[in-house]
Amino acid sequence: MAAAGDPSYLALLIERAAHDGLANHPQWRALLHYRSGASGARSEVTDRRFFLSPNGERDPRAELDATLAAFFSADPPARREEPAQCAFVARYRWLVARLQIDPARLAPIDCPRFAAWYARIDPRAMTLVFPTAYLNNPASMFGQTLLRVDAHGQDEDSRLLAYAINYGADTEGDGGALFMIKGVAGGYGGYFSIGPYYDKVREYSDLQDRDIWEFRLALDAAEVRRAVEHLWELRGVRFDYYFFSDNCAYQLLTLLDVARPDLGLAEQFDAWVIPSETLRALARAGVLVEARFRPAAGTRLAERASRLRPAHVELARALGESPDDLEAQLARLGDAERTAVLALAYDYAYYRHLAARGADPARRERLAELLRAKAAGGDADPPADAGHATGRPDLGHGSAMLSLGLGRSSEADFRSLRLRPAYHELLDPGEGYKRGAQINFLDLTLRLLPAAGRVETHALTVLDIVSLAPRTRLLRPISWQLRTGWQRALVPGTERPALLWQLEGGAGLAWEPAERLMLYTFAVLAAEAGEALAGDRALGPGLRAGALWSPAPGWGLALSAGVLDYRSGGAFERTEARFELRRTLGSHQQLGLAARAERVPGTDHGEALLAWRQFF
Amino acid sequence: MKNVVLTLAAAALVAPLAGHANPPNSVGCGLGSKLFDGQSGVAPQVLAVTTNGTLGNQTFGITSGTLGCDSDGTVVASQRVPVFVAANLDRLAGDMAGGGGETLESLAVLLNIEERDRAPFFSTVRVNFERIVTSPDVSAGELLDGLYMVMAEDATLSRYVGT
Repeated sequence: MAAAGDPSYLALLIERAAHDGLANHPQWRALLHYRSGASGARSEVTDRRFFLSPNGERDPRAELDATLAAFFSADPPARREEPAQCAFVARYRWLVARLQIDPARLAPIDCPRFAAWYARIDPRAMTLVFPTAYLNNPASMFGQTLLRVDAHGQDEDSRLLAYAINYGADTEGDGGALFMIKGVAGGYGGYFSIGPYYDKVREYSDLQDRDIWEFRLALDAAEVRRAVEHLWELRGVRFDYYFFSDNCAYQLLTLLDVARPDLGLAEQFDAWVIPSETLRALARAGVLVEARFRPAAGTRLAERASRLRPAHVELARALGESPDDLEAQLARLGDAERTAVLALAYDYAYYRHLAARGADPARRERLAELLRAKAAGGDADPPADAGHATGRPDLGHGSAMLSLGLGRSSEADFRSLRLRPAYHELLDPGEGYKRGAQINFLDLTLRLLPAAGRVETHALTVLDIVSLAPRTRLLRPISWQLRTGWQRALVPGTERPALLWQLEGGAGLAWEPAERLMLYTFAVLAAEAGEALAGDRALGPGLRAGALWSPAPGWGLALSAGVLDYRSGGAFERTEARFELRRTLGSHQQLGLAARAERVPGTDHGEALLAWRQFF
Repeated sequence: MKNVVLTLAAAALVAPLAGHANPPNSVGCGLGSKLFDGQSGVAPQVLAVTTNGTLGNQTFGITSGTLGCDSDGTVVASQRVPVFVAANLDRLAGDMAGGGGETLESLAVLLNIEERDRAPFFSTVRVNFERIVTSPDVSAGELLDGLYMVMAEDATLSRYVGT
């Protein structure tokens, strides 16, 4: 064993650390990922390679003593390739500073591999990166976060060249439903990684079409250094990945806690970590400064199109789509028009090329032809800098909501209590959320009927997703919706709505004929079950249509109508109309007035509700 | 992703064997990757819940999946240009034809092109676009060769081309 210092000094350091209570210091707890539980401290790292003491996972003091001991050896500890001073470089630097370790008695060891790695990253600052939702995928509103390490000498124009820290599951190639099930159940290992930021921008911005927000973090040089050094310690170290709780957003908070333990970010979260909520936690801690928006491929496309006359958008689409002679179609345009039309045509063709997921030779040839025409044109490209259409996600409403209301129905007066743990519905304050996207999860509404002196469940929505993706001159997406849960509804032969289990899914079209106005229509297939139904169940097709309008900032209006034609079970038709007006008071409160009318053969039902909502 | 990794790895092995005279620093990692390769993209991934952190091919030790380019997740200095070009071919071609943009700006930074020479760099690249992007499936190596050749012929830019 190569000695790096004198052993009597080790006893002194261990004693000094115990005297100072370093094992319980927030920095030590952050570096070892300890969290307090019923049975004392326990590290969230389950990988043996991360601990130097056999009891390190549960005993902060034993791990600290073993770490100090290991620093005296130039040989790598078990399952490591480098001496402990190099493998655990953040622990080493912190303990050297706290215990004022004398280099004459515990000699520092050279760490060339770490030094080279650190020099390539060359950290100066950190930026939290938040890719927002995909078009037509409301589930992606839950988001994703990355940490970008900004280098010395990097400026606004060379942000792409930075490195990004990512935490994710090693899914071993699993996807879709299997990933969801294993991911939720903790079936995967989670790992930190680092790679070029441009790879991530390409992945999110181009391939997944998600806008990206970049938030500079108010961390000083020493804090940034500590976080990056700690990342080195986590190289190849396995965590247990859980989709809802130990996900990327949570683990990146643990890294920021290492940078500055006072933040205490990770302990604010427990069973359920929504990335946009971690953003708001960072905002509350005062470490988010300066937000920058990076528009996705589709956003850039829409923005370019919005600056052109409709006829030129059509022309751009045709140029991007058909293999006809380019120059003939461009001949009548002026220089500036030609540049703008070609820029849009290329962006459109490229977007379609990515969507087609293939290397179609005809498309490739067309793309190259458009590029040559662009290069030959007069002006350089107009910059495509989209505005912040969706608003900053850190300023968005909290994803949980409590609502209290007073109502009157055709049968009785009622009081309403509604609790929705997550996430966003169409009329909620729009800032920071994708327009036209709704996802409600475990949404419970209770009603108190004072006259009858009882409380009843009005609705328990398990999942309710609506994705309104407006059709434009360029893109023609299909909107969709899916809803399941228990809901009171009118059934023939009963006097008042009965609680039924419902499942409804549909596909449809949406348009945006004017700013702040969206129209939509869906063809649906619905099923419901309940004792009140003849035959206990019903199944049938239906149609729904509606409008969403924001007549002025802070005001939202929704109108919708639907008809369901139940064929099997007790065959009957149910028609329904809804109206809802909401006024946003600040970003966390709303006042709403809603009315609903329902009809089945032989019975009508109507109700109105005035409700106040608090988001938190 | 596996295919991409394999292609890049194979390309890294083959690139040094390419026949024509390359400036020394255009031999590098991932240069066999092709323009408009058409990776899976913005298809309607309606129910795809890849939202919340999967690794993809990014781990310590495998970023661009190329041998000798990568070290503990970072790119070794001598390979920063080729790895960047290989990873950003599509965007680069678009920026070159348009005469500017973030990706081309970043390449200028990697090539150590000074601020005052950026505008001439952008316009030279645009004017000579067809000599750089020679075909719809130009490889990263070919694109970089073309770029270096165009730069070498330019009075202002020739000093940025390594010999």
